[in-house]
Amino acid sequence: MQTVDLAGARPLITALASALGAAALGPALMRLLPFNRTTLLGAMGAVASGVMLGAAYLIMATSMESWPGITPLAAVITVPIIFVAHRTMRAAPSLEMVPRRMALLHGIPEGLALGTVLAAHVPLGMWLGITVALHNVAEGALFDARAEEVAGAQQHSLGRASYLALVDKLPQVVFALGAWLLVQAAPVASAPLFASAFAGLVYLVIAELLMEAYERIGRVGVALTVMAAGAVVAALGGR
Amino acid sequence: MSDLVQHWFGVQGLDGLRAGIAVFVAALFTAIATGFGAIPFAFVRNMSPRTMGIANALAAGLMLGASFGLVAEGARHGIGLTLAGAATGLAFILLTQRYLADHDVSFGDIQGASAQRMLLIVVVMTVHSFAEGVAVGVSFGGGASLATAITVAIAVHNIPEGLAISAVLRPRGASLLACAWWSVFSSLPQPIMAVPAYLFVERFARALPFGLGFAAGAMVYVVLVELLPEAYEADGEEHAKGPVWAPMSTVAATVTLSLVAMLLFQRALAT
Repeated sequence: MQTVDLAGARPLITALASALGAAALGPALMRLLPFNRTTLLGAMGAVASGVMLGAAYLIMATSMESWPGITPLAAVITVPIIFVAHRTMRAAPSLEMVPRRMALLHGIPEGLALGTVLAAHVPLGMWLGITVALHNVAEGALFDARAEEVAGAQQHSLGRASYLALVDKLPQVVFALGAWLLVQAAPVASAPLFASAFAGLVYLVIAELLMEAYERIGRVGVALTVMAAGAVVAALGGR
Repeated sequence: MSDLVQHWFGVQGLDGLRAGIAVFVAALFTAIATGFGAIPFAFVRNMSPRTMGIANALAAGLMLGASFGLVAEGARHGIGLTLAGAATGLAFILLTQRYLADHDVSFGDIQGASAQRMLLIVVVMTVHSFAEGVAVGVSFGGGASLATAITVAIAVHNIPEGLAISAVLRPRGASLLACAWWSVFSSLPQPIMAVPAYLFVERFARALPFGLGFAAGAMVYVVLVELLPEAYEADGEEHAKGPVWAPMSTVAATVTLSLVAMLLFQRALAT
C-alpha cells in the first residue's frame, strides 16, 4: 500500500466539477437551442456513444499494455455483472423511475474510468475529463428528455431539470473519488477498474444510447455522427 | 518474368509475387469462410430472429474491435491521414450503397418481395466486402501480426454474414449449395480488392494510415448501418410493446464480449 497524495487530487476535482456542470447544461441546451428536438436528441445520443466508445477503447488499450492478463479477464467478469445490474435497475416499480435509474447506472463506469485514469495517468485523465464532460452534456439532455416523455405533460422547470441532471451524475463523482483513492493506495487496482469501466461503458452505449439514437435519427445519421464524435476522440487521444 | 513482375507489382522479383499471392490467398480464405455460414442450415431451414440477432451482434463486436485496431495502427503513423482515410472510406461505401439503391437490378429468375430481400442482402454484403478486401490488403502493409489479426477477424466476421445471407435465402427455397455459393460470392470482392490495396500501400508507404483509416471507416459504417440495427431489430421483438428506448441487454452483452475477445486476440498476436 502507498501513501495517498491528496494534494494531487486537484485535476480530479477540476474534471468532476466540469463533468457535473456539463451534465446540468444538457437540459438547458435541449430547451433553448432552436433545432428540431428529435434530431437534436438523436444526435446527442450518437455523440455520447461515439465519444464513449472511443474513450473506452483508449483506456482498455492503455490497461492491456500494462496488465495484459488481468485486464481482459476483469472485463469479461464485468459483463454478466452489468447485465444483471442493468436488467434489475430497468425493472423499476414505476416507469418514471427508469430514466433516473439509468442515469445513475451510467455514472458508475464513467466515474470508474475518470478516477482511475486521473490516478494513473494525469495527462490522459485530463483528456478523458473533457471527453466525459462532452458526453455528460449529451446524456444530461437525453435523460431529461426521457423523463419528460414518460411524465407526459408534467414537464420540469429548467432549473429543476438541470438540478436533476446534476444529481443523476453523483455516482460519477462517488465512483471517481473511490477509484482514484484506491489506485493511489494500490496501483495494481487500476487494471480491474479500467476493465470494468471499459465493459460498463461499451455495454451501456450499446444497450441504451445507440438504440435511442437509431430511433431518432436513423441508421445513416447515427453512423455519421458516431464516427465524427469518435474521430474527435481519436484526434485528441491519438496525440 | 522477373522484370514483368517488377513492372506490374512495383516490388522486387518473385518475393513480391509471393507476397501478392499470399495476400490473395488470405483474402480468398476470408471469402470462403463466408460459405461456412450456410452450414447450420443443413440441419434447420429456419433460424430464430433472436439467434440471427446474436450472430449480428457478435459480428458487430468483432468488426468494431478490428476497426479500433486499424485506427490505432494508423494513428502511430499519422492521426490526420488516418481520419482522412476513415472519412473517405465512409464516403465511398455510402455513395456505393446509394448508387445501387437507385438502380434496378435483377437477381436470377427470382421475383417479388422475396427476391428484393434476397438481392438486398447479397448486394449490401458484396458492397461492403470491397472495404473488407481493402482491410485485408492494407493490413499486410502494417506487419504480420496486424495482417493475421485482421484476416482472421474478417474471416470470423464473415461466417455470421454467410449465416445472415443463408437465413434469407434458405427459407425462400434456395438449396444449401446455393446458400453457400451466394455467401462466398458476396465476399469475392475481398480477394479482388486485397492485392491492389496491398500493392498500393507497399508502393506508397505514406498512404498506410490513409488505407488503414479507409478500411476502418468502411467497416464501422457497416457495423452501424447494417449489423447493429439488425441485431436490435431481432432482439427487439420481445420489447415491441415497450418504449422506443427499450433495452437491448443480449445485444449489448454479446457486442461487449466479442469486442473484448477481439482486443485480446489482437494483443496476443502483437506479443
